[in-house]
Amino acid sequence: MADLVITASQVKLVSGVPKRGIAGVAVAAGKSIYVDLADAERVKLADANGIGDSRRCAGVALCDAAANQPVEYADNGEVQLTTGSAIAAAGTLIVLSGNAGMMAPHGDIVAGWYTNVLGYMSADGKKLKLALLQADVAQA
Amino acid sequence: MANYVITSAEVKLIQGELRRAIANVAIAAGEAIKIDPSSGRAVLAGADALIAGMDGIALNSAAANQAVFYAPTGSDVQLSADDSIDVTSEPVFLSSTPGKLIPHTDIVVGVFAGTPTFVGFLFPANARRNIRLVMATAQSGFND
Repeated sequence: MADLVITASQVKLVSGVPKRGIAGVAVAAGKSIYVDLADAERVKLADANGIGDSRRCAGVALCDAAANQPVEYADNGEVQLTTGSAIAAAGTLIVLSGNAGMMAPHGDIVAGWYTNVLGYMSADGKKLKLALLQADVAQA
Repeated sequence: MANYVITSAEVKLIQGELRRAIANVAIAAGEAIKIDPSSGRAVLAGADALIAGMDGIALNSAAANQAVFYAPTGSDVQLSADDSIDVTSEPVFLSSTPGKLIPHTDIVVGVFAGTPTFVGFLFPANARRNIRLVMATAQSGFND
């Protein structure tokens, strides 16, 4: 399978308490983000085979923002990723992708990706139940 | 003149308070918003709207049901990263087009419809790319 296809305008927080930050790059709703501690804690696109903090996913963006604009993100609770058909099977474990800002089913993990569990898909396959786990080790 | 052309990606808060609401419609950074008192959600403000006035300028883009941050009165907001959005006018008013802003010179009979809302002043004088938000709405429509 490939990265999940998420329509930004259909993303919304279903439950949980959101966080906010200032975007360091353009961020769209539904993107996996990290907090760059080396750049005033700006919110940027996480990347499983990136460098430094980018390999530590901090949540999922809940709105669009250009660089220097405020952005809200979820690191707990449940996020609707689509209002259309299911985008992954119920219960699928979702991880951070090696493509910046994207998320993928766990079966897509390849050598070199730093494992970041984002959560699992809800029963209808449309919502992500967040349960963040950042491993400081790459897949062998 | 027509509505000011604002590039959403170039909008940012310079100074002032950052407020948050949930959008009830799609809103782009740089658009004028109003908090609908019946729902508590953000909608596009317009001089011709049923609910007069505005509550701020959106600082990010959001679809319906997403969070939108906005700058209220007293804040300074960058509307353009480099170019002036108006080389001759400083006072800015709310347009009849939802979410849009116009120069004060557009508040004329036959052009403007609705209740005037003074949004703020463009600055600096040599490159009018920022706005200082004041936001005051008239008690009645332009031709009442």
